[in-house]
Amino acid sequence: MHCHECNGDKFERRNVELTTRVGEHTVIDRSVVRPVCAKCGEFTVSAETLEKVELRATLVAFTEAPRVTGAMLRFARKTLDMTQAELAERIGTTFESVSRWEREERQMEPWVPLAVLGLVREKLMPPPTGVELKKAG
Amino acid sequence: MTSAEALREAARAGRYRQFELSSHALQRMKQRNVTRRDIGLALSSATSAAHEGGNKWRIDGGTDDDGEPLGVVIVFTGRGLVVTVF
Repeated sequence: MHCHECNGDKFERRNVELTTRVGEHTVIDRSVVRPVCAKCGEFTVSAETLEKVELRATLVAFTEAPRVTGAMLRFARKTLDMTQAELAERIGTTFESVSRWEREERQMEPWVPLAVLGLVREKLMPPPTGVELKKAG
Repeated sequence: MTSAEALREAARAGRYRQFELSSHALQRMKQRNVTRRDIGLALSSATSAAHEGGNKWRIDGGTDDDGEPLGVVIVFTGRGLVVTVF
């Protein structure tokens, strides 16, 4: 393995700092471990890892920010890899509503951030497999 | 690799989200408020590829989630390595 920046061949595995902008907020994630070039400090991140970083940033921003803005909703939707129509269908509304919320032309009802947060959590931690719900007999 | 092949490879990387990102690309994404989805869409909707030497290609003509133009410079070595966005 060679560094794409300096062609160095020595790497050390360590935590890297990834900063994500979620609307008006910045979320810093130091949980990702990557091989870092010992010579120039360069590292790369896969699209799959970036997806998890974006989802975690959304989770933190939605949970800790004083209010969820249109820009934050837009970021969350993109992180979920959905169009406005797809998100609308998942949370039981119309794409016009999603569009208006994102552009802050209409105030979001309190259930909207909670519904989106549910989708983010589901994607970060899919439901367990091999577990079945049955009616108690 | 021809321009058409580079464009096809970029579209595949974008569609299946099979790419890596350099730390510089991550920095540019934060500055421009670009997400992983935007990069995938820009790569899969691109219309031109210009050779920049070695395995490096400038992928242009694609758009992000908002329909805004988003260009990508990518190095094809195994999985595509996105080195910057513009």
